[in-house]
Amino acid sequence: MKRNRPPSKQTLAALEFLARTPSEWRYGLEIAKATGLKSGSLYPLLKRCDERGLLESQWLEPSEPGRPPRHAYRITSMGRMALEVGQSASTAAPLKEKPA
Amino acid sequence: MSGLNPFTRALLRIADWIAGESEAEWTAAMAAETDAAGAQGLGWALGCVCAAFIMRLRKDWKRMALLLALPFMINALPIAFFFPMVRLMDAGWLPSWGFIALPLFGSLAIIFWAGWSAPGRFPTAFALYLVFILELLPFLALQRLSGGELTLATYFGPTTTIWMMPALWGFLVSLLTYLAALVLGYKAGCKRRLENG
Repeated sequence: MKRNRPPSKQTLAALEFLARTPSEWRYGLEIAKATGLKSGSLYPLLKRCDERGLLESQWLEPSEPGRPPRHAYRITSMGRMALEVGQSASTAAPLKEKPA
Repeated sequence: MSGLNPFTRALLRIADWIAGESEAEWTAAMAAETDAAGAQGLGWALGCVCAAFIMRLRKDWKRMALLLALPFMINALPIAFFFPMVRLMDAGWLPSWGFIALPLFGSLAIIFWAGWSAPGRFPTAFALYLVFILELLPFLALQRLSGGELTLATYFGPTTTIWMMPALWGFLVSLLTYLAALVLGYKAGCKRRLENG
C-alpha cells in the first residue's frame, strides 16, 4: 500500500518556486539556488514529485553548442493543488511552543 | 561533460553505479546539471552521489541494507565459525585445512550470491564497497588501534601474512578471489535471467 504523506517543507519550497512561473521550464540548478537545497536532497525530491505527478520533466536542448541537454521541470495542475493544500496545512497547523 | 575534472567525473560515475540502471535518466540529469554548475561542479557531484544513494535506498532498501551488511558478515564469519571448528578439529571430524576453507567458502558463497542476485548491470559500486570493507578497513582499523604506528610498509612487511601467504601476495590473491566470486556470480545470474526469459 502506498503512503500518501503530505509534502515536506523542502517539497513545498521547490513547488512554490516552480509555481511562480508555471509555464516555464526550470533547471535543477535554478531550483537549488532559489530554495537553498543541495543536489543530495534536491534530486530525490524532484524524482518523488515527478512520480506523484506534481511536476513534469523534459530534456531541453542546450543553449550553447557542445553542452549536454539539460533536464528541466515544470509544475503540473496536481502540483499546484498539492502546494495549496500544503501551504494551508502549514499555516493552519499550531506552532509548537519552545520550552522556556 | 568534457569540461568536468576527472574527480568530478569519477563521482558522477560512482553515482551512476549506485543509482543503478533504472535511475539512468536521473543520473544523466544530475550529470548535465553538474556540467552547468561550473566551478561548483565538484560539490554538486558529491551531492549527486548522496542523491543516488537515497534514490536507491528508497527503491530497494532491503537489498541495499543487506548489501551494506554483507562485507561485515563476511568479516564476522571466521569469528562465528571459530569455536565450533575448534571443537570439530579436536574431535577429529575436521581436517586442519577446513579451519580456513569453511569461512573462506562461506565468504565466497555470500559474494557469489550478491553477484548472482544483482538486478541489472554489474554491481560495481558494491565491488568497490566490498574491497574497501574487506581489504582496506582491516588495515585502517589496525592503524587506528596502533595509534597510527602501523604503516603500509609494516602491514605488507616480510613478517606479516594474509591468507597464510606473504602479506602483499595474500592481499592480491584475496582481492582477486573475492572479485572473481562476484563476477562469476553475476555471470551465473545473467545466464539464469536469459534462460528464464
